[in-house]
Amino acid sequence: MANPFGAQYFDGRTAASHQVRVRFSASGLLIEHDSANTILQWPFSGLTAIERPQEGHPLRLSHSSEKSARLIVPPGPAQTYILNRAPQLKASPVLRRALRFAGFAVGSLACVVIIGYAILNLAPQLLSDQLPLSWRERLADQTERSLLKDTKRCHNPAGKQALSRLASRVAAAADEPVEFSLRVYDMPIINAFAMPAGRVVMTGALIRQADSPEELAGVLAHELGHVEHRHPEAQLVRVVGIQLVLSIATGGGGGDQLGSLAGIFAILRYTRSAEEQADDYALELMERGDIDPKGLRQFFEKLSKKSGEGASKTLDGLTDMLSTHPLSRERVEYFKPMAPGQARPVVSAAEWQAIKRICS
Amino acid sequence: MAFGQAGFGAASAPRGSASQVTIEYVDRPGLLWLSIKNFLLGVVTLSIYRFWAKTNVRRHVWSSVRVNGEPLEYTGTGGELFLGALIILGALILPFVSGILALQFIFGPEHVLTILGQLVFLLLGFLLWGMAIYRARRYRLSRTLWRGIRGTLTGSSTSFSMLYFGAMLLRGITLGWSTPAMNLNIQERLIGDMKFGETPFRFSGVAGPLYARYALCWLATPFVLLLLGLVVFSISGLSVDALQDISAFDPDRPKSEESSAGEAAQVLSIFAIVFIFIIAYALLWTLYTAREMVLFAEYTKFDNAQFKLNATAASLVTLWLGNMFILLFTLGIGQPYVVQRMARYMADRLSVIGTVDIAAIQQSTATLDKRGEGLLDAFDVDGF
Repeated sequence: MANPFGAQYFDGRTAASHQVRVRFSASGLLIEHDSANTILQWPFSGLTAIERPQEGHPLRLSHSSEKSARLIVPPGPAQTYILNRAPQLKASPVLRRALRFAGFAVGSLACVVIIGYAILNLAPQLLSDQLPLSWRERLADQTERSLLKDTKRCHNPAGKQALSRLASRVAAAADEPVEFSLRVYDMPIINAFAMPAGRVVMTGALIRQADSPEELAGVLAHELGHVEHRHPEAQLVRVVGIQLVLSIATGGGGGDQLGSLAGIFAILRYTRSAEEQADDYALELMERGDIDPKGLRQFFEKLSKKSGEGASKTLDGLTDMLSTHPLSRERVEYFKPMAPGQARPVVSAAEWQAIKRICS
Repeated sequence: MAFGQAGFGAASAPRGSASQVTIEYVDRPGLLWLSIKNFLLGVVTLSIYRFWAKTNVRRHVWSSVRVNGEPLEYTGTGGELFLGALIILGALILPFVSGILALQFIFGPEHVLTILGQLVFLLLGFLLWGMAIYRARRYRLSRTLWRGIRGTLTGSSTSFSMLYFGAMLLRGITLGWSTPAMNLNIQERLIGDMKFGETPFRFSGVAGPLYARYALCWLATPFVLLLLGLVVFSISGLSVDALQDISAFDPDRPKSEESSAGEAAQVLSIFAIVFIFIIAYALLWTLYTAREMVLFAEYTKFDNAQFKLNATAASLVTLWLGNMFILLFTLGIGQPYVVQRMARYMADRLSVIGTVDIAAIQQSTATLDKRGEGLLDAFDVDGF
């Protein structure tokens, strides 16, 4: 081993290059500088490599005691000795680097998932409970406009009156009074949905295919569950949150993508747990109000039969009730018929006929 | 730790030893793995890794540039960039974007308040653009070391952003004719405020020699675009009849599959045409850009040396087209190679005429972010 050996030194105070002699002490480097009559002591433990050491290339060192000073050690035995005494200078083995890389990747993926969960699930529900009514009304205006802009509302007076009888019969059983309004739009798809601020929409097709008032009552009770839990508000907050995150992640200012809000609204569905909440609410409402859950069950069964026949494969199938209210066997089973004599009729036969004609 | 009587500082350095300066780019291995790693980590972190990716690339490219055989060193960290971006995000972008989103949400996208909010955001963006450029440059300079000495930018970023904004306005008002003069002003500020250690760069010169080339490009633009337009239309067979056919298109007419395929082809060809126009426009203006780069280098002095840049329109075109193809065909994964190519272009073509008393260059006394401007100093606004 060359001891002492010649090296190049930059002191970090000027850009001048100094030729120095370096000796090894027990614990580090002693840098001797002729013209300045100085000996610098750089313990091995404080050494850092400016670039990853490479065989046959100069080794560029810095030291924790003098961060802007640089010592350039030419290739040779001295370099090897320094690398052995100060193992922190060597690049870590490929395996360790690969593991670190994998760890970092997995860790950040986990972070993304956790933050994503918070943004997608926790925050919207919490925030939607805080929204003032005026904001919720405006949200509802906007959603109604973008979803139903070109659709005719059904206005048959007798039908409307009968339907509102049905609605108040359903809502009367509620623990706390629910603020809601029910509107019928003449759409060819079979669906019902809740919008912010308690606006429930049923389609003309849904009413036409219903075989009993209990079916409509059950569907309404379910939507009232969404209203009560503020699911529509949470859904909209979620959409905005996603846009915000996307605009942050890409570094661009988001904002004008909101035109596609209606599309996203249709694409996003309620989570399974939100559906269960709404089902629970509906069942409770029907039991208290003596409305037979058999109606809702029949309705679900009809829908699944229809989808079994392939109706869902058509374009309508993408927007109908099944797509926004995914069905399962358990869910259908959940709505058990009432014991005979317990149920009371929802509306009179004449009123039911009026409701069926609401869109004509 | 110093032993002996005195530390060897500037006092002991040999004085008056003026020397030549050479700049070269020395290829180092590892850029391919770097590109792949940056891309993969960018994917799993939803692009948040980009700050560290940028830092990795700068480290690699900086250390490939050798001045008198000694490499540049980049000492910035991804954490600094991330923190800087986080501050901008929290203080500026997040409040504005969520405010505009809320306005859209409540009043709808066409409401006066929504549009007003968007305009204010846009204006603020333009006002801060110059500041972003200046601060990013200051950050990079302060993290660029050669022989342990770092660079600085000593001016005010606020007044620079005003100058930059004024130049933008003036360009619009004068239909572009203020560009050479204002670019000179901007460059004068950027170079004149720059120091390596405590030794300042100097910039002096006039914009006059730029105007012949500017006039050539300005006047040629409409002709070139028109000529190109004629060529494209005659090749693609889009006759006047076809155009009329498009304008007479009836949206209610039932579409056959062939006609929608034809429409897709038309849309694609329109995109292609726009793309070709943009490229032609950019290529034409490299004539001016090259001249500007050469002249600005000539106006730049450091100690007893003057810079000389061998930039030509042809070489710039090659550089830019190459960069574009790399980005297109690697879907952006090859971005580090673009940085490398640009650094190599400058290092290969930049030469220093005259001498520099290297030993007399003192370390910069400008405060680093640790003591001075706090986190704001670290904010690098590339991803603005």
